[in-house]
Amino acid sequence: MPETVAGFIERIAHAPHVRLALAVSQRDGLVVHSAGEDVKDAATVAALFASLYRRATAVARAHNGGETRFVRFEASGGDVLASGAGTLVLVVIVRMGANLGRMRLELLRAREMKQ
Amino acid sequence: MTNDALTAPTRMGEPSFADLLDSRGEDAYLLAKSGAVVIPSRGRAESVLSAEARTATADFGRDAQRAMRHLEIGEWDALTIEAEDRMFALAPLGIGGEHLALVAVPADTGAGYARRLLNRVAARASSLLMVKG
Repeated sequence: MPETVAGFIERIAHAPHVRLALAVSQRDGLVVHSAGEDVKDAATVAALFASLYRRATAVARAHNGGETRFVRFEASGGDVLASGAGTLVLVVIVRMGANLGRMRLELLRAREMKQ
Repeated sequence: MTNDALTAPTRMGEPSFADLLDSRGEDAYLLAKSGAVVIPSRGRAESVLSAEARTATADFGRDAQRAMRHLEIGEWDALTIEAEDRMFALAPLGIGGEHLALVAVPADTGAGYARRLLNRVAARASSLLMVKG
């Protein structure tokens, strides 16, 4: 059976070094699904990164980049990865040591998931 | 201050990143927090970005930094954007991240290449900002 967005979020949240996984409505920044140890903060994180993802896609579009597929915010203590999937943005917050290559592939595959 | 910063190739005596770029498919800018171009990719003729481009990057560093601080994962270092036709890398520069270094490369270029180019552009931009004072 094909994986759903909710199933993807639950599964990714249990990967090593993952703090929080979210599916966020692109239109209004509201949480659709969330899982992970920081889930109590999901609403605020969703609003912050839905906005930043929109801004990142605007940067790409303004510089003739076409449709954005994946973004990675790097910080000194971890990363935030995000990918648009239809009307949603999938956001994964990871600590140092996370397998970023695997996370990136998972998010890119998840773009085609049934919502 | 490096010799590289002082001898960066220019058109009309203005600094640019032209010598760091491999092909016409690559661009690099130093942007003010307003989104305006401080140092252009190749020369004065390219120093004006569209209103859409300026708006997209205006205060981006401030907003990214605020989000990272909320998550308590340290200072924002860089952003990589993989898009259909191009890949982008951005990083904050200057006191409080008031400037933004931005590079754009073809989409089939590796993300590692974009980050290395960003590092070189950021180093050049930091030196030039020090010269300008």
